[in-house]
Amino acid sequence: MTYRLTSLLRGAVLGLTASGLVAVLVLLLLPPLIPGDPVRVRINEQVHSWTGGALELGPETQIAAQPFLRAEIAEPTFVPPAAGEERDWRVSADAINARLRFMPLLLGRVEIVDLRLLRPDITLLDSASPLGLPGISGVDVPPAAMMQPTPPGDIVLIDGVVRLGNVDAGDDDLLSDIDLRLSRPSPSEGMVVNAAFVVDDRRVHVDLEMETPLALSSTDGTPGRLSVRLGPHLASSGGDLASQEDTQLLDDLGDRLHAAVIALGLPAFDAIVVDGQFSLHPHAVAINDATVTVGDLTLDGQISLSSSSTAPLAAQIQTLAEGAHTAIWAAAREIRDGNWPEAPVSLSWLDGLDIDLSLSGEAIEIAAVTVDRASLSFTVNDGAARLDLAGRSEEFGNLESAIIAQVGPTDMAPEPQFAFHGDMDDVSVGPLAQIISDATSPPLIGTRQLPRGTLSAETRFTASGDSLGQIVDAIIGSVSVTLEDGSLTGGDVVTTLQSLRDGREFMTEEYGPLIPAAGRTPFDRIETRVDLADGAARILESTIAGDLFEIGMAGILVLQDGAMNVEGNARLLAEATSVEVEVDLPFGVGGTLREPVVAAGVPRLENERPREEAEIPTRFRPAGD
Amino acid sequence: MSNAAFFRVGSDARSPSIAVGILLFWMVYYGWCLFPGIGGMLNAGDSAKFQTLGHTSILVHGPGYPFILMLGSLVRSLALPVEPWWAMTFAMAAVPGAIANALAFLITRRLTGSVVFGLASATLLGSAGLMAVQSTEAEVYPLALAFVFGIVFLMLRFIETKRSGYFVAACGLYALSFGNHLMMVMLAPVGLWVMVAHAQILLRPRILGAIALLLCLGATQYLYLFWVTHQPTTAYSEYMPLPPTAGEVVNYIAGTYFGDLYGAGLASTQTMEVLIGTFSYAHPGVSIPVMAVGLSLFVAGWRQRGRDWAWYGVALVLGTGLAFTPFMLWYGAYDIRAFHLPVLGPLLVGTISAIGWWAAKRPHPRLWVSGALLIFGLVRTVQMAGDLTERTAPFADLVPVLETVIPQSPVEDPLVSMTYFMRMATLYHELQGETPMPATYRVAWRIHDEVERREQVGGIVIPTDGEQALRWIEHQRPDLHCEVVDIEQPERASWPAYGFLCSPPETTSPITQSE
Repeated sequence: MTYRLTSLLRGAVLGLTASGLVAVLVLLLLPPLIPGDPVRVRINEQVHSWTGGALELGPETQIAAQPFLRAEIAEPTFVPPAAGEERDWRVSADAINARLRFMPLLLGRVEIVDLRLLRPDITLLDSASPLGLPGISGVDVPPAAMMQPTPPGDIVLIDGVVRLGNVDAGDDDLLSDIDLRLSRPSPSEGMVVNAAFVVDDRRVHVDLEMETPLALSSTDGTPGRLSVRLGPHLASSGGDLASQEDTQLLDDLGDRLHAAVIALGLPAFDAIVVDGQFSLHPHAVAINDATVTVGDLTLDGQISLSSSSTAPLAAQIQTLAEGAHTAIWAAAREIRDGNWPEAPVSLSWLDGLDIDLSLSGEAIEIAAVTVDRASLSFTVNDGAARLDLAGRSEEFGNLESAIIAQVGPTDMAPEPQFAFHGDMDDVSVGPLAQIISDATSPPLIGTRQLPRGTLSAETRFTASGDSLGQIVDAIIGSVSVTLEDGSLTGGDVVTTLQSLRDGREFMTEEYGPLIPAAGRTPFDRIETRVDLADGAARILESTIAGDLFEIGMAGILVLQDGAMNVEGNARLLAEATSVEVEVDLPFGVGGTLREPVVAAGVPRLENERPREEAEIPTRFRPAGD
Repeated sequence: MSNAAFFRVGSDARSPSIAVGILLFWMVYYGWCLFPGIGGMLNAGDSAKFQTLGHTSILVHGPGYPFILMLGSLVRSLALPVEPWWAMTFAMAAVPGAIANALAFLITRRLTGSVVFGLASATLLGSAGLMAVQSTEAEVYPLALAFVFGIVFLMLRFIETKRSGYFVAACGLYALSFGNHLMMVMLAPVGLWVMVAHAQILLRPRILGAIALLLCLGATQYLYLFWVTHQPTTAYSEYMPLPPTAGEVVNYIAGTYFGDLYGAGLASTQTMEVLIGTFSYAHPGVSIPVMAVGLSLFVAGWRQRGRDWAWYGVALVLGTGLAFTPFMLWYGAYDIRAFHLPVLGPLLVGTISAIGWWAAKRPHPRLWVSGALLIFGLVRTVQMAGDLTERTAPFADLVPVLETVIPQSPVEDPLVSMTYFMRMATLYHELQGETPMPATYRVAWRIHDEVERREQVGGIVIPTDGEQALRWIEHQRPDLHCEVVDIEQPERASWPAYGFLCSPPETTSPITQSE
């Protein structure tokens, strides 16, 4: 029994070893069987197919057959099929590895599983092609090359780099650490690109599916799906200390934005899927009938980018990204150093690229508030940018705003100019304040006391300047705010005034300051009108009216340093409907917006005086008013 | 189950050394995370004033805080090689805060028989928002809490052992605690309740005599205060004249100054909302559930009380917190939050002890509940250190600002009217001779005597106040007319200021002359 088992085992082991040896021998012996010329033809077909017939292997390239069904080309060169033809791009690689199919090879046919380019270096040159990308150049694609009877094998790039040539003569990598696979499941099933690369020290994963790549340059384009996923920041690789600090600065800014987006209940914008009609034309790329999905958020609309100069779109996008990066970084550095008025503002980076993005969605959940309809539109045209935001919500109110930024006519005012208008209607302040409060880090001690009420506001202003400080100084506009049926926090005005009526003394050695009574102050209506000019906000008139009290205020707020100078009067009425004034308490607001000082003035107890409008000091009104 | 199973007298020999470890840890932690300068985020004025005691003997606001004055004397006599503000904050807040945490461990350890619950209790108290902030700023409430927990611990020992010596010691500590804060009077009903419940043991002439004697000894702290008011070295008194009459001292101690706020808290639900806010932000999202669960388990344990002294122990801790609550709701200051620690501390430690008491009979939940609380407490401790060390000193550049502003005054020896916060921060520097002189620095409501005394009143208001100071001067001196004098300051000044000159209308002001 034991003997039979042992012999069986021995037989099996011997058998397996023998067949393994045969397999290895066949594989080792096969290299001489791989015919050089058919492999070259196949590889060329492959390259041809994916580059839209733009390139083929140079005649001098040596193809070396390798064991295990591989053909390798060391230091390959690529040339255009017709000599002297203009090229949009240049490719080099350390090596090309072609994996061949086993069975066809046994039958004497060469078929390629995939072509692997090791460390390819792709340089995009100035040209009329929109993205300058191989295979999807949009023009002059020989249909035959794309429509072979059998699908061409995949092309795989390993550890590649894409750079822009002839752009600023710099050799900055556009994309680095690229791992990419181009595949066509079948001739009829379109094209799939799976790529991962590093841009701005973040790993980005991109998957693109196109149903009919050939239709890409047609008017309608091809149905497709693009999904982009951002990986975490990579550890900074060297660089001097200053550049590390700068990277850190922007990373911190990004992290804070990210945290704010999350706190607002919006999905993190690090995974985006866009479905739509993709089209590519000279100098333009567009996604029409787009559905953008970010987390739970779905928006419909269209996106298009076009280059308004002769430079390829990819180069324009890089210029824009770099320009925005530099502009944000320069501003962020000044702000970090506590010098925000010096933070430069430039818009020149908007030149050269036109953007048209409009998206809208319905029933969007933002921080437990349902926005019934929201729309966003962002356009950049001729160096002028315009952002429109609108939202409408049953429970939350309506909001509409637009900001326009452009560089003024060069001969007159070359500095950036801005215009803003925003309207809010019936916005519930409580939830709004709650959202803002939730988006900031919680206080160490106790809850924030948040104001309540229904807010309507209208803001209009224009400004221009090269720095934040200049812009703030140049603001001209107006704000008018109405707040109804709410309450203010920080103290109970009526109880405080009543204590004065009852003979409370203060501002003396003995009794000390007027410490307001704890509580909220409910009000019926607050109306405020503010004029913005000369770097200051002039509160022309602000009235707060409630049961038993009314408050009037006027004054000035310097926008740059937040210094305030406001005078007002708080009046206690005998009864809600009465004209009888019980106490007038003048007061002042000084200090800064960050650290306001509210100072009580000399109270007047005047029982006999008839009621007039709450007094509003006039001396802070602008001249001529 | 037998009585003995729950009879957690068995004193763990390691407890004292663990308590010392906790004490040292929190002293280092609070010292490390100390507010980085003069002032504080809770009440910058009060903190700056107490910090001034680190270098000079002064009288603070009523009721006088004689215990803190003694602590100040101690700090000054040690002449430590650190900044006076640091030494004073550490002595009056960080050390008492650490003591309170160590006592929280001892209390919970004794009530639950579990070292892990004790550690969780100390960690969750020490890292609770209000506790961590107050233990790193010059505030009197960590010391109040240390006294409260000291008294509670001695009372627990008394309830547990029925040895009257513990009760007498608790009364002695209680008497001493009045030197820190008169708020401690709220604790009296708790002491009386324990006394009534143990009348047979305590109602003896010898014990009552000892308690009376200790209370008298505690009251002598206010004699010390009286002595300080008569010392020539006392450089400053906030509002009581020096040296005062006996009547003035009594008024000062009684705190009539804040009389307007008594009862004002009941006018609205505000003080209640703020108190609940303090509870929930002790550990956002966690402290309220822990308190709710602890209170429920405590109430549910009502039936077992007869068999277990520890239930009464938990009742004593929670009752202590409850005893202070009426004061929190009744006193109507908008910054009432500062007072909340003697409610928050016992409530947190009491409810954690209640959970531990419930778990003591259930070995399985006991392990993971205590472990989960402890791990959460440790995470919060690390997180809180980050938050605490992010605070910045608001008055770091006060002296340079004064050096810019004061010389621009329209008169010699200007009257400088300031907010309370700024005045107290200035006091710290003024008594060290670091502020520009001559100048009379005053808080806005204490300029009367100067306004009365001067023929022509001129000076600086910093920060600006919507020019109300001028209205008060004109109100007090109808014979004067005030004019604003612009003050040059660097761009984006932290504290905008203006100069002023109040002179009889008929005389021409020097400004007009110079033009």
